[in-house]
Amino acid sequence: MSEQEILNELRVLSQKVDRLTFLLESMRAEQQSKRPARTPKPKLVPLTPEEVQQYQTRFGELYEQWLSGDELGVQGQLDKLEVEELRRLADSNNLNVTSKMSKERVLHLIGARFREKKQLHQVRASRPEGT
Amino acid sequence: MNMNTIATINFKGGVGKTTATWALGHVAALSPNIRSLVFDLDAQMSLTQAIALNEDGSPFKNFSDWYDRAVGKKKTIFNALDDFTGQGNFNFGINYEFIYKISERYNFVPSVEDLYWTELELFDREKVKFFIQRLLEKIQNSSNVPVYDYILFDCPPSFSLLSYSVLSCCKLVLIPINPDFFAAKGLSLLLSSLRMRIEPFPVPKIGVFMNRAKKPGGSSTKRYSNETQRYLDDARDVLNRVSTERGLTVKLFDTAIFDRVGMKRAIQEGLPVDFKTQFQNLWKEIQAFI
Repeated sequence: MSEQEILNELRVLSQKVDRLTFLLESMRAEQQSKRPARTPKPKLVPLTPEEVQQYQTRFGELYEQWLSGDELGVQGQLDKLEVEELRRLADSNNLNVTSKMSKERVLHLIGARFREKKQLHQVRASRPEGT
Repeated sequence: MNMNTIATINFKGGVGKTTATWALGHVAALSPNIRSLVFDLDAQMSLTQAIALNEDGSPFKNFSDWYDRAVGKKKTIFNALDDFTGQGNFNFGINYEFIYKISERYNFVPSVEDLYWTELELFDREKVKFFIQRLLEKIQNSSNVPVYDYILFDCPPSFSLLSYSVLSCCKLVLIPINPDFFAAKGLSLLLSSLRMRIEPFPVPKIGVFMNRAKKPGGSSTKRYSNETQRYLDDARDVLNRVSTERGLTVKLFDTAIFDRVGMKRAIQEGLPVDFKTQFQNLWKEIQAFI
């Protein structure tokens, strides 16, 4: 094979590589355009201090009712609330909720917090012998 | 006694008792004309080892040499207890062989492993209850050491005999809590049993502060993370309840300590500025309360 023939072969190969590179970049760009734009983590609308206070009072009343044994009554009241209202109730009481969190998940967080508060308030201390 | 005595305690280990005790003693002694003395009463010797060892684990020669002399001359806290509970008079001499000078105004009584023995039936339990009170009287009356304005005790995470001895004569019980369920639960247990443990001695004032508080994430304008705020609220509920039910004088300090600092590095290289500022703010609140 002459030197000219080798150069011609190389030129053809180089054109094929360029074509392949172009096709790969086109495919990558197409995939990126199809990918949904990254949305920021949804946040809850901030509440006023008065609203926070109201929700905290409500949470405290529901907890006391739940603690007294009326678990079904509390569950019924919470179930009736719109999910937005539930999220605000939980957020005002420092539970980690987002604006996209499901109603079931928020109810679960509230229930867990009630159980935790009950655990903290149950104390049985006794005097050990010899002290 | 005129000295202000503060005992740092919590049933739960790892809440930052040792770091808090050391840092408060340190910031107290930064004020002109204030002298503070810190006791390490925990047989685990965390504070003593933090002072004894460099960051790389090698011995800090100045303190190690002093400590070896104190052990050799039988001038440790255990020797003092042994002397006090013995048959004769309490003749234990107070001087700088017993007390280590971290700085001119900040002094230290280290722990020894022998303190583990105090929990066994080797000592007269009734007598041990009065040990710290008598020891403090000796320190106050000694002409070999200065008159201390504040004495702080790093207590073990339990009602040990020595803890009992401190709690029955201190002015303030300082309880660090962390933003987690078990620390809040420990506070509730501790407060509920404190009075019955200390009686017939008067119950000291009780101060609680949040240690290792967390800031909220993102652009939140809240002061604390949700978790930290929840456990602060729980601590406030517990304190309100016990102060009413048991007639205790309690306070949840407004200052929380955010940063977690390596204790050994802080002791040997100095407190980071923001950490020092936080403890100075807490110290102001403690002084006003005590």
